[in-house]
Amino acid sequence: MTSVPGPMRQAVEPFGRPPREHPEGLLTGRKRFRSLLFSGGSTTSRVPHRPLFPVDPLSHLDRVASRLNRLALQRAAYRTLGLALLSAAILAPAALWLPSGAFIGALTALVVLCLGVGLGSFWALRTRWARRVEAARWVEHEIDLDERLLTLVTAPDETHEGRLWPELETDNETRLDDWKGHKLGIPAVPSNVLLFALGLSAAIFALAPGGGDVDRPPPAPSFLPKPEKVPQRSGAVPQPGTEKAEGALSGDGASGEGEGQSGMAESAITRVKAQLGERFAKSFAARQLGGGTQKEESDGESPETMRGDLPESDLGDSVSQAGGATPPEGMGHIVQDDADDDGQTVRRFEGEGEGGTTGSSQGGVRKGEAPKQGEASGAPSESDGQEQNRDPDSPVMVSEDATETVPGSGGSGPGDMPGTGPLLAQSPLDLSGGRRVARFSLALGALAETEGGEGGTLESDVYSYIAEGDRGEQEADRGVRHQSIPPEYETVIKRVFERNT
Amino acid sequence: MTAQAAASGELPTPAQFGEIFSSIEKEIGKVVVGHEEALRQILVAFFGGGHVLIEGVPGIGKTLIVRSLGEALGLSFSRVQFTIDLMPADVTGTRILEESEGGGRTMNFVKGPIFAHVMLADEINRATPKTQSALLEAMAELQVTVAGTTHRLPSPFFVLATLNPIEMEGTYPLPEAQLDRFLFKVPLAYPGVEQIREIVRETTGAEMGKIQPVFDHEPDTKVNQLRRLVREVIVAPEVESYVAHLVRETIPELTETDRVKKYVDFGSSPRGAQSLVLGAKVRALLAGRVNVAFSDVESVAPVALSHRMVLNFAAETEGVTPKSIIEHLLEVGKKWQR
Repeated sequence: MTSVPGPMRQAVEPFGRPPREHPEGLLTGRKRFRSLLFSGGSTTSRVPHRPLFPVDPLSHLDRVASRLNRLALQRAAYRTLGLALLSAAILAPAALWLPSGAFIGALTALVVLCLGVGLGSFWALRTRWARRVEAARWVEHEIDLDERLLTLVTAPDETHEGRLWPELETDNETRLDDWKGHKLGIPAVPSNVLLFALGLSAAIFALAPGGGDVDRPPPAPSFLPKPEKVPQRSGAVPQPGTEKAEGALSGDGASGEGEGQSGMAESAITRVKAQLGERFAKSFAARQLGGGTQKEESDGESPETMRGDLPESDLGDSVSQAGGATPPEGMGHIVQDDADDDGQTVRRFEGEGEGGTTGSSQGGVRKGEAPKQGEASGAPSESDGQEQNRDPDSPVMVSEDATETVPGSGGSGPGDMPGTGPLLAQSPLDLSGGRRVARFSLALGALAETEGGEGGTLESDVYSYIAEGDRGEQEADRGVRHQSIPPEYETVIKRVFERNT
Repeated sequence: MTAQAAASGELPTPAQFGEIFSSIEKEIGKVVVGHEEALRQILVAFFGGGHVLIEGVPGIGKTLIVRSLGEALGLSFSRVQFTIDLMPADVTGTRILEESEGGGRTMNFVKGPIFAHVMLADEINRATPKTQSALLEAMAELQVTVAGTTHRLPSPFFVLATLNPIEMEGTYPLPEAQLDRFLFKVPLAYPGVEQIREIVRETTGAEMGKIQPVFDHEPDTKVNQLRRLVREVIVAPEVESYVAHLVRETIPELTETDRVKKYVDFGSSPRGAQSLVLGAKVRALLAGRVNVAFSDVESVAPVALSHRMVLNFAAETEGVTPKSIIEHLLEVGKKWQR
């Protein structure tokens, strides 16, 4: 075997050759170089390069893991919250416009979706929660460290006693700069924060006051008149005694052009309520004054007596005129509407009862303008004679024993007549204006009790707001039948139905 | 201080390992032209403690590589040309009757060519299975038993066997169980034009390149220290798992890869996993690391697994090679790395 030439021997000789071969302690230049290069060939004696402020790679890896977990948490939270907010933004207008069944379906679907996403995110967060090993894998994936860090983290404990373990630690410390700080590129905020922002914006738009369609009124119940019909009736309610009063509440379909908005209708209804209260009070006072003649007067009372468009001075006239127009007993029905030469609508009322009289009353409805709303409502009324009623909107008045019925637009017998007033089952009227306050707004021409209870019952009629398309099929009563009865009306309802049975 | 502790205290560093490795490559490169990657794989197997099966056509430099390796390491070298009439005793050695000076006769054991640090078993497939088995047993157990006496082989012991893929008539192909004892099977490809020109220039001139030993004394000890250093390299559990998946995926009964199911009759044994890890450890040291990376495993997988896979007739007809299947496995096996 030949000897190794100089440079090659420099590379291979040092490890294994003991330094005691140089007892003088002086090294030649070549040997000094070898000594500096290999330091005796011992791994443990080699002093590794260490930074001035050493940073433990494992503690830094823990920080990376916490950052990854925080990011995953944010991601899951933003995803779930964003979806929930979007769902809320969808459901808010849907609650106003969707039918109840569809809304419940949509609500259920969105709740299930949100719950699914939330649970899925939670599960993913739980399964992918980054500990030290997962963080090391992630770092290795992002920065190619040739599994140095992964080995440092995952190597079994017995490996730590190996001779090369310090080399591995030093190697990782040296490579720490490669994956410190921003080099890993962990974002502070996940990208799906945009979903959260979108959901938040949509929710604010949909749920905030004044935003979206929240302020749009909900659709009217089916038993209420259509919005365009209301202002024709009540939007032009004049003060009693004025010239316009005759046509306003009489059902003139031509009036109220451009007044079909619900706000005007509501204000008109409010005014009608007030007038009704006033009239109730006055009527009640008159009955109190009339004493025993109250019964007789009421028998012949014309529908016009209860109309709000009549001035107070005409009240007595109307009552006297209407006296002959009321069929006292028997069945009757309207067979046709005619108009006389004076432009008055003449309604013939045929009946089979006994002692019926035919009368007419002055109304404000001109020829050809009379709405047909009162036609069907008067059909099943009890009358045995014929009656001509010039006002198709004249209300029904039911006597105390419910045997005398005057046909009119809103008139209906309890339970068997169409055209229930819209104020039924709503808040009771606060009818003030007399000594006693009546609390009644029942539609069916039923009786109301006075608050004091002294006068027994108060006969009353209620205007009916029946939409034209609802007549005949008695659609308007459907809603009424499903309405809950307020406690205030319970005694009245019971009394009415007791009489019928 | 014990001998073991003293020996361990003299372990070379990973940097020294790399330097020595480079020195050996450089010395062999003086006479061997080309085959850099094959030469590197042979050295990886050598420091990994295994044996190498070299496959190549005649005249391509197989014997030269082995001889150069022995010279560069400063280790004893022997060469056996395997023929059909070669007997096991011709390899392992035999007892002969010798007469002493006093007139007495004794049976003495004469060591065969196997008693060398580096042995070249040229065209091993030309010997009978009986002779092949004698050699392979010595490779596995690092000892030879003759006439009831066990003789330890020198350490390090390194066998380089060559296979001639042509002239297959009258040969005895190595059974799979014996192929499995080679750490690597390294193919030697035809050299390129420039390499042939260099071969001609180097070998036909007045002066031939001369290899200088890297170690001037106790080369066996230093080689063993380097081998021990290789064993110290740290392997992460993830890398071990990747190796296990890779080896298991070569078995057609267990694989999920259609290509393996279609073309492979027999897959690798657990020795394949050992070969992968040992070779990867050497590769890691060459890269200046003390831990094994996935890339280290990938770099040695073709030479560590190809001779452990037996392909079927469909693979032969369609020209599918073990190397292509292993490359496919490495591609689909990325999922096992994470």
